[in-house]
Amino acid sequence: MKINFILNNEELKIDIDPQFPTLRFLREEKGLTSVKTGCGEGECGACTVILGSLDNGVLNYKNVASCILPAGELNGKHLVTLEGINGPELSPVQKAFVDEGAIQCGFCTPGFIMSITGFLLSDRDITMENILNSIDGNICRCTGYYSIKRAAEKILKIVGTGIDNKDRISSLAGLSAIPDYFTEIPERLKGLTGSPDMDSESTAKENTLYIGGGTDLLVSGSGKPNPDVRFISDIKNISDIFEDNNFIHVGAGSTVEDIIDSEILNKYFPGISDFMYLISSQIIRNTATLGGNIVNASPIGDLSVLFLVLDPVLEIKSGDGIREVLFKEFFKDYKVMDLEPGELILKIKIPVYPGKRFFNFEKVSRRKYLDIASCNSASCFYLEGDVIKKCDLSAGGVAPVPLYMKESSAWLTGKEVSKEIMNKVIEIVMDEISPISDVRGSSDYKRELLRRLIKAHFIKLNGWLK
Amino acid sequence: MNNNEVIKHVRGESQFIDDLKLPHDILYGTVLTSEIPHGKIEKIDLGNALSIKGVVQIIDHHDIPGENQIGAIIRDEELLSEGIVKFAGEPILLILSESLDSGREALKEIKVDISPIPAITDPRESFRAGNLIVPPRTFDYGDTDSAWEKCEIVAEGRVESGGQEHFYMETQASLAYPVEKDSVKVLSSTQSPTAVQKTVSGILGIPMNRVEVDVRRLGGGFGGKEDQATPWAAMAALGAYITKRPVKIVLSRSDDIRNTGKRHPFSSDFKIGLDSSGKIIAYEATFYQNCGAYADLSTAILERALFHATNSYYIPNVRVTGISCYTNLPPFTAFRGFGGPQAMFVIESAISKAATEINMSARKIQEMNLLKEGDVFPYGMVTENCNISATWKKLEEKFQVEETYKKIGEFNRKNDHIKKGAAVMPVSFGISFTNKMLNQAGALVHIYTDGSVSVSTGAVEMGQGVNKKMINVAAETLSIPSSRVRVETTNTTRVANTSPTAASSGADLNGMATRSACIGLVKRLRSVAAKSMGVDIDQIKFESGKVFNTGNGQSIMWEELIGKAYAERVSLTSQAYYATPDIYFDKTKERGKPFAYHVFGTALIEAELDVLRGVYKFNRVSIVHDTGKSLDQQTDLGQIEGGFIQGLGWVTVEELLFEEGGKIITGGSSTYKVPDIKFIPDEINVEMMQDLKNPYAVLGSKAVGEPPFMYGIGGYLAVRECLFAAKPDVQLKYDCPLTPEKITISLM
Ligand SMILES: Cc1cc2nc3c(=O)[nH]c(=O)nc-3n(C[C@H](O)[C@H](O)[C@H](O)COP(=O)(O)OP(=O)(O)OC[C@H]3O[C@@H](n4cnc5c(N)ncnc54)[C@H](O)[C@@H]3O)c2cc1C
Repeated sequence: MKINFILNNEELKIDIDPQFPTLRFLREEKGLTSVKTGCGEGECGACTVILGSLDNGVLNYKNVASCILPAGELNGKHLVTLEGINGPELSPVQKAFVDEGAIQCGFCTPGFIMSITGFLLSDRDITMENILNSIDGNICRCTGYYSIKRAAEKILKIVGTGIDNKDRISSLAGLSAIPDYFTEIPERLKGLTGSPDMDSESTAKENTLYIGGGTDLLVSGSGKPNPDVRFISDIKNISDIFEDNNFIHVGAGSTVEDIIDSEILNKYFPGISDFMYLISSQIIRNTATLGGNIVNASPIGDLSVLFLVLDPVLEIKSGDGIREVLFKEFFKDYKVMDLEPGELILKIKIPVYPGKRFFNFEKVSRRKYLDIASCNSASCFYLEGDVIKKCDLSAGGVAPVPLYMKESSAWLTGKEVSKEIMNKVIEIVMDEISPISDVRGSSDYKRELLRRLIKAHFIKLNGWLK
Repeated sequence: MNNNEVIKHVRGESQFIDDLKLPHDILYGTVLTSEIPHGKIEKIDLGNALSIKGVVQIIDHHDIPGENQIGAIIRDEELLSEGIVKFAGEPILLILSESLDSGREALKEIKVDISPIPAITDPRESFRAGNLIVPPRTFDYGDTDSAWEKCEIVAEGRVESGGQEHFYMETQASLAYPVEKDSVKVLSSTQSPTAVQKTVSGILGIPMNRVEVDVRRLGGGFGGKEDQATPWAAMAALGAYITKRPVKIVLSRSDDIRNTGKRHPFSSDFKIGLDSSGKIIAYEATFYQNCGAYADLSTAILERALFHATNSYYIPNVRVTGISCYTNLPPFTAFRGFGGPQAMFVIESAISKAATEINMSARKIQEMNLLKEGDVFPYGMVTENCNISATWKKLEEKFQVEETYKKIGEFNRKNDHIKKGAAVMPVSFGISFTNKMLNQAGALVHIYTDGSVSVSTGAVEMGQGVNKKMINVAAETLSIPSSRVRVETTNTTRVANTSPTAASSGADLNGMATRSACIGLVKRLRSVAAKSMGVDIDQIKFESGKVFNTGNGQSIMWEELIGKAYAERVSLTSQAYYATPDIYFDKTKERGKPFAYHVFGTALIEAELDVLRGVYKFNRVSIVHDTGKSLDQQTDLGQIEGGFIQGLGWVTVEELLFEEGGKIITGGSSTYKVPDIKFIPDEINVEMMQDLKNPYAVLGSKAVGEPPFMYGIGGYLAVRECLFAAKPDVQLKYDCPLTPEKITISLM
């Protein structure tokens, strides 16, 4: 695949396998060794780079893990490594790390600098919480992180007060947080031959390989060389989240971070962004898509489990037409789903509900953040007073698929919220699941855990009812 | 840390081995390892591996010109297997290829037929089968057998502690160059340049003076590159020697986790007896050390476990036995604390058990039994400059320990869903290699004619800040700004016969040698200055880069003095050597003074448990740590914080799992989890006790690398307290890591 992009301050035109890991391209072909190989599977952040793209004329930057970033994704974009941040003086981020001794062996350091700098370049508010979120995927084995937190406080003080949010790029350049050439990037990006900006109309072949973030594909190594690779990010409107005709439309190309930022989703499902922070880490969330999470079909997939209870319909582009599938009926068996090769998931459509609705998501993993759940569960209750008009329950890690718990959900309909019905429904849940023992926990544990997570839904529901 | 060094780090300009520019004829080494934990190699079928484009050669044990042996203490480990494999991940073949990808392709082509032999993973089972590295060792003190009678209560139990993956950010890496026809130069990410040199010399069958090992920096070590870096360096050297082309070997993360050793899992039994006041009368423990397939450093690690069996307590009757058991797991190895954490976890568990049985708080028992000046350890060493009580008291005063416990009690009475708990963890850790021979170090210091200074020592920089400390020692001794001093790579041709940078002793030993080398230089320079200024030697004073005649206050610049010294033909190079005095140990009696001194400290850890979900977090940790006169406060603070978090990881999230048959389950970064930034306690307070100058290390300082790790054990104990608050009759084995799974099951 021929691609055209800007690497740091240099425009490149190269021919490359679109699935080739960006990290390897940077280190092996460009000799940019600030980008470190720590794990090769997005788990440590040593390879963090910043990726800038023009969306409707606005330049957006995000920090991403380059080890699982497919090279094809670079087309039309601005890729930044630490070599492209270094100026004659240390940036305030670099200086804070030096001053606070937030460096020991130094191997993870470039990744931290890049995550924080990438965050500063985004349009998020500069708060301590947001700085820490930006490095939730950067592992440091030496410092114990406290000195890094102290550096973050310093950055907050220096950059947080000095920044002009209307023109972050110039303002950051003024603070020497980035070099001046950044200010010309929007214009230069417009001049690139750039990405095709495909229409979802363009018909896929049987063997077309769609790549969302590649955060699943490049880790599992299942992406064999393919002559017809298409990037979800090149498809128009597939990442839109909007509301119309009594539906909330969540584009399959929406990333986990897009969901965090979505006003609509936060309005209808308060707390949803907090749940999203339990998923992977920002350098993954920045590229990992909803569609990828669904098609990956992991029995523990957090987005699948969460969206299963929102009564959604999947819109799938099939050949030249579009078909709809109830999401609850989408998963058939382990990694088997109602999706033919070449079909493209366009979006999830969630019905807008005018009445009282309670929604909750629970996840327990060995490490709270950046870990795969031992078991997760979502619930959505539609209520009239204390009476459940309708309820949807789902769970992950307890069946071959992300499980919509049909029996339990149906049984709850019409019941009044009480401890008794909670205990009763747990029994039904236990009959609906078939967990196996694996690295995430024994089957006994998963059963007990789900029992407790169902309780957690009810405890929170009770609190909410009061 | 050295300012130049950190500036390179934040700019991504510091180079690790994998970052070096490679010569055009470089070969990549890919290692084929056993998939089977125990078995006999029946047949190796290379398939089409050799015809894959780019594959240059495939090396097996027959190609080794010297002896196929890498065992450092006990010579029981082959570099490339000769027929019997003993763990999944054991190297069999070395593939050399012109690209990484062709090596990986070749790997897929090769079929190794191994007929399995039953594998053992449980150390107790190997013990029963008599599969030991050396006979068991026992430290016996007082009269344990008759002491039980005097005890009001006796508690017994079993304790398990899991292994721990080092997860140094830079995986094992080495790059070897052939030098002319008969020598090699090896760049290795190793804590033990000399061990690499020696092993390479043995493997190649050439003298050590034809092997040069050079180490610039490590992307983390933690003990994982003390012995476990050697095979990869030896393989790179072997490839380079045979092909006469440079060879690079860098392990992928999953190969690194799968193929290399980690912290030893221990399975232990204890018996502890107390009088009614809480005084510990007797303690007995047996450690079954899971050593994995080869001896590696296991016997030394077991020895340190025995030394730290009683942690910070004086106990008049002690019998502790350690048993090094072979199993079919990766060869377990050094990891920060070196057996100390495992042993301390056992005694703290014993105290915790005893506390529940006599219904007294563990904290009371701990405090009552703390070591006092002059108390004797079960191996005969008398405590000296014993600061453990001082750190304990300071913790109580500064961080309101009593108050904290009270508040937790109140909170727990009012809350059901969340339960809080706290624990205090005292640590006393002996400093010195327990192998006396290793307590030596050398330094080589040059002053160049422009006045800049170059320091070489045997210490390896792996993030612990030893270079910064060496710079501080040299700068202070020479009375020049630290910006004039540079620390060189660690290189076997500059400083020979080095001990590994380990046992927290890097700065102690090498700092002493550096200081002594610098004192030698100052002495010579003083004469030069006295002569040139025409005054007496004792009228010369060195200060802030200048040399003063104290008689008249006149001075010359350091640089000028160096110029004069050179002109006068005075040597500007000094070499020095240091050996820790007055340490000895008699293994036949298991008595002696193995340590130069002890490091002391006490921590308070506060946790809270989400009773419903079975998950916990840490709210606060407060540490009072005896640093001596710190050589560099920021560095020491980083060691205390980082060590503590690593220890906390060991007892909480870091779960190393093996299948029954011996294959690793948590063999990747997606399954083996180390602390992330959101895992750590919300608040940390560290108080360094600097007022107590240590006479046994350089400039009154103290070693700092390992001791803080063991504060982490308090995290385990604190979560346990939460659990008891949630369910007073909870049945919970003493078994770390304490995962949400174990908690939830215990709450069922
Ligand atoms: C470090 C790390 C941590 C992770 N943590 C979590 C976690 O906590 N929870 C969790 O649930 N997952 C986690 N994951 C898994 C993964 O990130 C998610 O499943 C993610 O949502 C996948 O999205 P993607 O866009 O990257 O998928 P991709 O890798 O791009 O694609 C996955 C599959 O979906 C197909 N596909 C993608 N989009 C479409 C579409 N629109 N139509 C049809 N087919 C499509 C692709 O062809 C491919 O087969 C983690 C992954 C990593 C690397």
